[in-house]
Amino acid sequence: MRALWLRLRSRLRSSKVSSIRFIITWSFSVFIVLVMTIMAMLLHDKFTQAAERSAELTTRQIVDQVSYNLEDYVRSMSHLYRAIEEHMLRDGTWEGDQVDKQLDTLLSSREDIISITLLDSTGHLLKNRPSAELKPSAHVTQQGWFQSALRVPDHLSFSLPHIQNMYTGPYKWVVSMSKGITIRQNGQDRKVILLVDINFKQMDELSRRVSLGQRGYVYIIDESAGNIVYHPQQQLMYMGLKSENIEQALVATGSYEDEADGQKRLNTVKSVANIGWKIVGVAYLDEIMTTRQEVNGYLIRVLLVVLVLVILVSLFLSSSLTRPIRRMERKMKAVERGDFNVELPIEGPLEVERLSRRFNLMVYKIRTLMSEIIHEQEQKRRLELEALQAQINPHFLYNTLNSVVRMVGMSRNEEVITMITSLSRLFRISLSQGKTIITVREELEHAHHYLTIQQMRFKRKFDFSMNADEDTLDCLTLKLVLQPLIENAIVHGIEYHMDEGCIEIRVYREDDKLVFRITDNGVGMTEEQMSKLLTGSPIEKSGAGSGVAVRNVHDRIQLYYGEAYGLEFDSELEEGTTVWIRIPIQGEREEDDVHEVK
Amino acid sequence: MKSNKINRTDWIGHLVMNIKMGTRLEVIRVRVPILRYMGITAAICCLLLCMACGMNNTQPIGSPPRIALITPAGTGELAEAIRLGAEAAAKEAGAELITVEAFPSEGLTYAPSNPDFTAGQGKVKQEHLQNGIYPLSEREQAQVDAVSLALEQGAAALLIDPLSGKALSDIIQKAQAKDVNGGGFPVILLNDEFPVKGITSVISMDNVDAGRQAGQAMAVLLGGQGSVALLGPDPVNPVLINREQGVVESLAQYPDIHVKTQAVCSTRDSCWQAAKQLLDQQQVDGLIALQEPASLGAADELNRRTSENRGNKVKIVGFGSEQQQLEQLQEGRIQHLIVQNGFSAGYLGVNQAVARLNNQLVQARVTLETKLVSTDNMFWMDNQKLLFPFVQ
Repeated sequence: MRALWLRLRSRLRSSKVSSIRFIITWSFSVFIVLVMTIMAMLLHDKFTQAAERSAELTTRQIVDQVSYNLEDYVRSMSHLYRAIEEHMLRDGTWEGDQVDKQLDTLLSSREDIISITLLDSTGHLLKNRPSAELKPSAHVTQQGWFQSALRVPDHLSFSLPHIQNMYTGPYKWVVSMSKGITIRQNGQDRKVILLVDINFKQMDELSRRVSLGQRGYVYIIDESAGNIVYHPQQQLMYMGLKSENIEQALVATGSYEDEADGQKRLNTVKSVANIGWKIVGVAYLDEIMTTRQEVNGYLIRVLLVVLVLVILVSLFLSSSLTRPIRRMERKMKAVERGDFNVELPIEGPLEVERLSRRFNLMVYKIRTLMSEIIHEQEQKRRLELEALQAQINPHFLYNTLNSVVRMVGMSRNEEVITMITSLSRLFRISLSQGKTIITVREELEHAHHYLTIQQMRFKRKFDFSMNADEDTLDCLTLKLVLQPLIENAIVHGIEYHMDEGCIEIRVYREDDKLVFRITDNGVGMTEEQMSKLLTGSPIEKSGAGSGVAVRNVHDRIQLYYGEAYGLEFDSELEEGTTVWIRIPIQGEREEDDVHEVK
Repeated sequence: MKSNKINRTDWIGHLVMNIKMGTRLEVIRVRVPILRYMGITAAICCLLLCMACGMNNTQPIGSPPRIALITPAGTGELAEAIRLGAEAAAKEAGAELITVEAFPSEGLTYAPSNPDFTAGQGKVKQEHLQNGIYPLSEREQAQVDAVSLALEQGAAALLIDPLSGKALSDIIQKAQAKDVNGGGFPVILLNDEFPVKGITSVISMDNVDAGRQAGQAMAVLLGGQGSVALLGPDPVNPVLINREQGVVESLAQYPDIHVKTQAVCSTRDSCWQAAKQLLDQQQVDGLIALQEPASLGAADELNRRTSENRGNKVKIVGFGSEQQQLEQLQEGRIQHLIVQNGFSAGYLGVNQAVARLNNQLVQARVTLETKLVSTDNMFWMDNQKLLFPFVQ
């Protein structure tokens, strides 16, 4: 399990998932989307609640409005009825052209009054406007309005909407206002019924135009019996394709929810005063829910847009943040490949700026070190070459060979053999198969041969001695360090000296250092000369090559072994000079080193 | 010290080698950010696409289905009831109803397509053309054209009361050819039945049963004995054939009732003539008018005879609920009317169309109830609502 986790983590770490850019982008996005989602949820709840409440409120307001309009209409109609009753029947009669004219005017001005009829209590027509014959098939006495007028006299009753069938002409839906009145005619009381039929169209339109949502509607029931007064789908109800929960509507006040055809509906009930009707507004809840869906859709869209924006912004942000880092990475890669001539611009965020500065500094240092190393290496090679060249000094060769010729002339064959042998040995060691490092033994041998040759050339003007501790012989040393110093001692110390010269070479250990000590009893040097020996420019070359060679030795030692090593002089005029060469003690070289140097 | 030195040289050697390789690496390195940006762009595009999709999903489910009612144009209360019923259903189902008139409204006097107020399909006589009645072929063509118009207006379903089997065949062909999905737009037949293939649903009353009701009512009126004549049958129209069959079936149960004659007629005038001839020639106790003009024509003749005091013992049972018929019914000249509910037809028709468009189960045949209305019960509240559906 743990192994799996570790593997997963390393996989993550190696992929882009662990990049700063990725982390910033996604943590940003996830965070903001999370916050947005929570916000959206909260808002959604609030929105939908508000929407539902407002839908309910709207339904109620609409129902109230319809009710108010109906009430208003009914009130105006009853006013009209009262006006007809009071004005036309003021004297207990309804006679005369004047009255007819007034009624005709009324009828022509009011479209919604279909007819005004005065009947006696047996249903005989006394008078009507517009005047027309009663249909014999009308059966007036059986009609509801007639009966209710008889039943409750002096009370204006409104009938349910019904078809007016008393007169010929189109069958119209009417609401009948009827009232039983007692009039005096010819000095006798007479019971009459005044009927005013009003077109149901007005009320129908008031209700039909109402829309509650897309499918919502209002219907009107008769409060006393629960008959449907108006329903937009009366036909369907009659055909049994639809039903309304009238019982519930009859007892309900305010609002209630019910279900029809598997759909929840919000019913809002309101009574219409004066006429005894009840308006029921029906709104479908799924339409209210549509608001919920819309809110949902809107929020989802907003979320998506925000998500895209957030991702864009965080992509931009993270890329602008990581751009200097990636640039730095590129530059570092360039350095890795060996291009040290890079420089990071000092810009970007503070941390990056600091890093860039450090990086530039580091690269600069590396660059300096590199060039130093290259310079050192070049110098080494040059110095070695110089040393070799010095070794194959034509003067030396010429003088030596001259001496050899002279000796041959004097038939000193023994000496010739010694000289030539020494020369050849000298050169062999000098070359040493191109090795830079040789043993002390070889170096001493080389010095010995050189001294031998010089001794012969200078006709034994000097003597020399070599003395090395046994444990130093197998140590390693830089090639050709003794010879220039010996040459120096001979040329500057002994050649112009009156007495017989003496050169003593001694090799010994001193702490962890190997010391070659070359002592002569020559003319010596002044302090000034001595100091010049090591500080003089190594490039400046005097004719005899002297001095430079010494300097060369010192430089080479320091290049190879470091500043702690090198030459040290001690000289006194007319007394002689002593040179110490100090190098680190190193044993037999390892195989691979040999290999490398080749 | 020494090994140090050697390493250094070694390193420098590597440097030289690597510097040579540098240029090639450079090229590769430049390409990487380009690829990355391309990737990001692609991702953003994907997101936007998703967003667009999401938007589509969240939007309300397209536009409501459009259903066309090919009206028989203008006249006829039944047609109006059908339209109102269809409107009610469309409102309820959230569909859009368009009505396309099959005929120019100037041609107000053309014979309506429904058998209850039709002018005898297939037998339009020359003299009627002078009265502004268009020949059948033209009316058929107009109906087919109306269907084309409806389809052009984007109707997804058709409600139609076809003039003839031929017109219906053409209409179904059109509806099938127009549908790119190959399934054919649903065609729903109202108040009619034609043996034509490809009809989605038929919404009509059971005409055989209606005929039986008429026969039964007549038998009761005649007290179980007498002679009955059929007015206005049609050997071509399947609706009238069914009604006739029903009448004959039910009257066959009464041995004392004789179904005597059949007078073929198609307009109020011709039916009046036919009734007159019938009553003049023989003793008839009851007339069963199979369609609206026939019942009106018969009532006219009885009216004439009553005014001439030639005795009115003849009973009429008719089909339909047009206003004039209702007047005759109220006056007692027509004893019974078999009434169907046009509102229901339109309502159920749209419901079937919507069900078909939503890939729900569709009834191949929806039978509408019929009602027998008499002079006495026509003003009962329920019958008022059936017979007089419109507030005027």
